[in-house]
Amino acid sequence: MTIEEIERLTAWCASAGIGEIEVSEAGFSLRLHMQAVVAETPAAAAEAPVPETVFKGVRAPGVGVFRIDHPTTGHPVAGAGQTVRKGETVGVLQVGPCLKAVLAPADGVLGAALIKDGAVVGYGTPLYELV
Amino acid sequence: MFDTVLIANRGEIALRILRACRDLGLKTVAAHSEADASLRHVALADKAICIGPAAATESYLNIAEIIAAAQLTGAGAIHPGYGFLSENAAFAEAVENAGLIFVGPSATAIRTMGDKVSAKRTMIAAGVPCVAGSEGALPQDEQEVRAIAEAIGYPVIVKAAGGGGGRGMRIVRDEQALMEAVSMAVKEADRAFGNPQVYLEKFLEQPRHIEIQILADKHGRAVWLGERDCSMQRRHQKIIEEAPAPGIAREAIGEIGDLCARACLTIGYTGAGTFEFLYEDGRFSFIEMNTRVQVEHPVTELVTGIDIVREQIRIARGEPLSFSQEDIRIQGHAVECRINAEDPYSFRPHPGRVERWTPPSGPGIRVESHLYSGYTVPPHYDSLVAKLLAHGATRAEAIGRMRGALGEMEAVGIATNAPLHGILMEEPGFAAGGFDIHHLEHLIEGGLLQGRGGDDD
Repeated sequence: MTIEEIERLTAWCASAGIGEIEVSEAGFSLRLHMQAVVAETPAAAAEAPVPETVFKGVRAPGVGVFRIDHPTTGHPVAGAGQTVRKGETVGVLQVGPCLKAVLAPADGVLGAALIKDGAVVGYGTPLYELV
Repeated sequence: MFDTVLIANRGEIALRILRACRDLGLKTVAAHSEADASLRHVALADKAICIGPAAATESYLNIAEIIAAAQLTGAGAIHPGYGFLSENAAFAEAVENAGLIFVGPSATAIRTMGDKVSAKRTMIAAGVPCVAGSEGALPQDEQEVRAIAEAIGYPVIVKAAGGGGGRGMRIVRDEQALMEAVSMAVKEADRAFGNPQVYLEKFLEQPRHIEIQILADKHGRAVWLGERDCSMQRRHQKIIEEAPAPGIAREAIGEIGDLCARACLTIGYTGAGTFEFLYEDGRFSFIEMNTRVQVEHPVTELVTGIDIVREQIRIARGEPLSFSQEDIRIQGHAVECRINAEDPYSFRPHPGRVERWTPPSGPGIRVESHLYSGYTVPPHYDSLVAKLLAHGATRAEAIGRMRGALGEMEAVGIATNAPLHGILMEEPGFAAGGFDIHHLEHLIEGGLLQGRGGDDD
């Protein structure tokens, strides 16, 4: 077995969440014990750029046209000042004929919409404050 | 015809595509991940849209979100760049089905050339020379497999039909090791690529990697733009490329180039593409085709004066090639060094904040990079941060200019492999040219990097 193959095996174990593995081939055997926290490349542990402000409100779950009013009923899905529970639908994203629910990430009181009805939003675009 | 192109990629190639669009008077949409909002092309694009979190599987590989982003931003075409979804036939098909234009070949052509077994069969039919090997995937029967290997002659290499980039390969030097290697490769191929088919090829001991760049329009015309020598590799990853290939007769290149251009017409291939060959003992053997623009395309642009990305987009717009084979002249020599954010001796990735970026310049120097002072290289993606290119009247002049450029380049805050390139520019084998694909590995085994503070892996 080459170093490359061992590295590949290690990567598989890491991605599959395997803690320990034994491999035997003619004439040799290998036992890999995965450390729970792989302290890989400390020098390379650069942090990903963090979004400039840590926004705690409701964000868009994907790309789409933001709809405050539900496209089928015409009524607002949620309104400012409304108390919402985590996982409650507070808006809708429309992509062609498909609708995707915008969910509250936590319990709280919904602020005013930060984006106009009908605007195109991307993944993570802040939609509502949540306090 | 489309007037806006969505760029479904990141880094230097995204910026390269943006510049080609700008030259053609087209508008651009940068579709980026959450970790890439600070990329240079995102700031320069007419519109930008975040398509998902940092993980590529949820952003740059997310077919539905990318297509939705194109539709919502009014883009009529999607340029996939290289890597990510660029050679994904299902993506090309989804783009076509959404009524958009995929900047690249048809889904059918990608599918044909993406499967190595069917690609090889197609090439043999088109008269392109291939490495001796099994006809298609290996059969189940052990005796048959042994007979095939015997007929090819040892050493042989077992390869995965759905593989690429050196993964899922095994070299077999004698019959005793054959069946075990085949069964291991089958298992590995199934796990890694979801396709258990493997095939056998003659293993070449000292080949060079020579590739032919082609462009084919939608009006039945195809040209080849000379060759590139990409033999300087580490673990099957190219690090230095050059054009033309030292020491190979122009007539031999011309012959293989014509075959490649003709093969494009046979396959119904359109756009930019590259036929990759192993070259040993004066013979070319086809290994695979890359159905997209390649990292090293600027090497060819420098010696031919043709903007490959611009032509690629023009072809996607249905325009005919604006030049013919006779118009193509190779002028001087060009070398490219891939600058990776990694430790130059241990090869460990080294992302982080670039405090100061000072690219080199001067006569014959071209830099393709998305870096700027204050930019943070995220850890989630490929470590390529810049490509330095040097063009000169002769190979020696190009290498001399590259040496100067490497010395000028400054990327304070991250480690790069520029020092390794500096060493290689002085290395006698490189200076002589014509080395094989194992050259760098042999140099490293021979202690090239010893005592340079790198043996901490």
